[in-house]
Amino acid sequence: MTDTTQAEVPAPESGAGPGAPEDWKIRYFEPDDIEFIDTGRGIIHAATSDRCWLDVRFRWCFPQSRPGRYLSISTPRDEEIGVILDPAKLPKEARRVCELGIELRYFVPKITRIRSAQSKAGLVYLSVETDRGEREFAVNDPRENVLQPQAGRYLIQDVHGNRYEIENAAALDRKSQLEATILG
Amino acid sequence: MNGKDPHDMSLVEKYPDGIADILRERGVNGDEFVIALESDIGPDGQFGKQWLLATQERLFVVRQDNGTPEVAREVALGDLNRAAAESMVGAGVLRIVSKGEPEELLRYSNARGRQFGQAARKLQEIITDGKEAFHDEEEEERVCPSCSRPLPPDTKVCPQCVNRRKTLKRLFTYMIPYWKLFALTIFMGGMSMLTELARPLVMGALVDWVFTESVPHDASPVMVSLLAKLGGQNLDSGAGRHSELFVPLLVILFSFAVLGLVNGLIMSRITPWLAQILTRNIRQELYEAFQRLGLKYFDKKNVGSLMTRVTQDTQSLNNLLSDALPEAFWMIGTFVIITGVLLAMDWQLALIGLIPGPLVMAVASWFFRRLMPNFRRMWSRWSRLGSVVNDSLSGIRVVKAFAQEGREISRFSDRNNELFDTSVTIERYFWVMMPTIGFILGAGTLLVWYAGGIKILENRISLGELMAFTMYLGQILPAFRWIGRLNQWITRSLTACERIFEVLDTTPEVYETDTTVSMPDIKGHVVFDGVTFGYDPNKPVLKDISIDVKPGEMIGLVGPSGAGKSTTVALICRFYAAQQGSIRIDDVDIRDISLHDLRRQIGIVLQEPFLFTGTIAENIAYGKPDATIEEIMDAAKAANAHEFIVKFPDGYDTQVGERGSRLSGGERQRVSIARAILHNPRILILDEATASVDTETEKKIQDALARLVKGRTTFAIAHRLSTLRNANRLLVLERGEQKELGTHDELLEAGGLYSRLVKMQSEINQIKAVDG
Repeated sequence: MTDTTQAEVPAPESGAGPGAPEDWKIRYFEPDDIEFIDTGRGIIHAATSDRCWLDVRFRWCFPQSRPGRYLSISTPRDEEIGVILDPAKLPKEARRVCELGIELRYFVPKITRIRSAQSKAGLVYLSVETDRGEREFAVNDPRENVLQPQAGRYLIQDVHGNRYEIENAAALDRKSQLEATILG
Repeated sequence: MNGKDPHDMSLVEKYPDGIADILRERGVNGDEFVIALESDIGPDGQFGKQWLLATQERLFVVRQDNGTPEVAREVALGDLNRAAAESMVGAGVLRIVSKGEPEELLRYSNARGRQFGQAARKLQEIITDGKEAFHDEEEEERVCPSCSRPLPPDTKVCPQCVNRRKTLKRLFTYMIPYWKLFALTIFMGGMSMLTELARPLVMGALVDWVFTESVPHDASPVMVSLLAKLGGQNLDSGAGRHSELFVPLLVILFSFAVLGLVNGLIMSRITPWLAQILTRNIRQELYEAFQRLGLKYFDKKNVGSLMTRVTQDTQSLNNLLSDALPEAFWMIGTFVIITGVLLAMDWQLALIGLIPGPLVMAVASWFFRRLMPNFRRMWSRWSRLGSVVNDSLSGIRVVKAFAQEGREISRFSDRNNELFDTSVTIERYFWVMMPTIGFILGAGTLLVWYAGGIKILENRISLGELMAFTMYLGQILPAFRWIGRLNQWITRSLTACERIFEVLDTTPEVYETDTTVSMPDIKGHVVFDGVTFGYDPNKPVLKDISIDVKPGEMIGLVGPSGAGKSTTVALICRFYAAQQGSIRIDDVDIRDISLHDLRRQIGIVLQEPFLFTGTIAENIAYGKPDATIEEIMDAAKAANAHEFIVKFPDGYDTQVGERGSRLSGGERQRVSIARAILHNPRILILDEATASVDTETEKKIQDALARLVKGRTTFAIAHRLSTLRNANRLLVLERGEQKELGTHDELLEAGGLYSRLVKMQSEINQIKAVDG
């Protein structure tokens, strides 16, 4: 058996563990740290005190559990620029452009009324009214494709991957609430 | 007989007196034996008997041809060089090397394999003067100690020997907190029973006292008195219809109906709730018991059979509480009371009426004895059909790639037809059984009408009494059909209960003892000092391992498959305890460290990352549930996971699916690394994934791992050269032995096992590069 001299090892740190090195931490933006420029063509640029980025992307980090907080800003090549902790605290214009960018990414109609819901051959067929107009769609296996992140809130994905939301089932009319029970 | 009971698993079993006699002639006393085992294969290779007996000095093989024992072989243990038990197919052979010459001593079937394996190890211990130590195994007995029948897998509960009274008594202790509700249900059940039993009497009275002119000559004084209280007049006169009793008797019947309804409604609220609450409580207790058990418990158990206890066994328990026990209570109560009433009304007619009862029981038993094997066959065939479907649909790509659709269809057809045959058989049994029982019951009723009719014509009983009689028989006779089944049903349910209690009674993993040392801030100095360990104590997988690891050092564990690498890290996590030697962390024996403190400061990244059903954020924060959002995201960023996570439509709220099935292998790996980073352990166990990913992902994983291991004492089961190069030292294992220890460069220069492994790896990589 070969047993050679031990190599030198770094001295242990005190405490429960080594802690996180600095070079790969997320950059968090305060409200005044970043500006957004709306080109009016669906393209949004971002600028901080030291740099500009063209055609940025907006993504919620926790869209279901913490809606409205932790907004990630990335380049078109998915390199993250940073995270805005609370977009609601941005200056008015920046907030407006942010909301525009979010709307460009997320298309999730909010269901305001369920006209009918029927289950046939494993699919649930829904006819609804949403904040973006009327819609009919089918949902496969509600156990997999209907989430309830909070009580009364439903996130529905149809067979094509389109998404719909019921923000608060209790706020729907009585008939819609009854129809919604088919979703589980 | 001499020796001990074979079921106590020692090496000295009971042997015949004849053997003791002939060995005594050779100067051997029975007390000297350390081995006395019976083999079940004779010298001619047929099933037969031979005996292996050994003292500390000598060894004998004794055969019993025609009942006369004779010593076929005698060997002085001093002449033995080696003893070993070898497995063949369906049998084993005990071989020795005596004075340098190998020979076969005797053969045995696999049923005796374990005992002769231990015997071989015991002989080795004697031969080597204790150097190859023999350990008494805590073997699980696979036959019931009471009835000697084989036990079902993964349990020691014998279905034949379940102590029903004891199990029921234990079950009843769970009912104590709800005793008032139970008392109420028993009371309501009793009320229902009484009203049901009274109904035929009232209807009989309607026929005799209101609708017909006949009055029973021996009308019961109690009945007369009751009817008088209801307003009956001139009841002794023996003449005329008593129409004044018509409405009161109908009112009584109506009251019975109302009482039955009210009872039923109340019982429907209480009984299901009680059954469910008990099941819920036991199910919860069972799951918590599983969580507290040590890893050793799960090593030898099949996950499916454990899940069965939580799902099916608790469901059986629920069926017992909500159906079987109330049914038994109802049937037994009804049976006893009605039999008493019938005998009191007319004992001769009662005996005639009850004749079909035992016949129905016998017929039902006969049918169910034939049905049960068919049911088992049907369940088995359903399972096999399901396997075929699961196989072919899961592997549909392979099916199509090899154009084997026809073959799969044929396989399915075979299973489908088997299932069809069994299902038809079962249905046929039922279609014969029900009319047969119906015929017996009908014939019995006719017999009662015949005998009762004669008595009516002879004015010995009234029409009303006969009607009540047949109504009672109608209540009691069908119960005979189910009495035999009820017994089986209850036994099966109680067996399920016992399997649940078996888990509850298993000793949990001990987290703290009186000598436990609290170590909330481990530095990470790990020492293996002559550690020897085997899952089977007699078959060590690690032998005499010694290494001193400084805090923050990274040790790469290298070696061929089965070398003992995973076992080494399992010992650090204290999933098992070494049989010899010790493992110390910061100079404290690992067995004395608070298990909670230890596991809190050890992090593991598995070869196949396991993610729980839930969101990505929940999985990252699994080891630190109180982590802030920023901590979770920072850990993901460090693991090169943040970027792909935010690309998901639901970001960190994305559901990973069962076992993380919705993520790719590389994504799962990085989430697993993020989990370890957030856990922030002092000691890290890294079981490197062998699955190939694309180069870019590979780079990201490697960068993430590099951040993870920095500053932590790390034991890495390494497969990649890059990891091996980054390790401070490498521990090279082969067949559980420590072969080399040093840096990558030092071991390459030494030209030993490690050097050969690296060369092989490099050659394989070159081939891949050329092919790729």
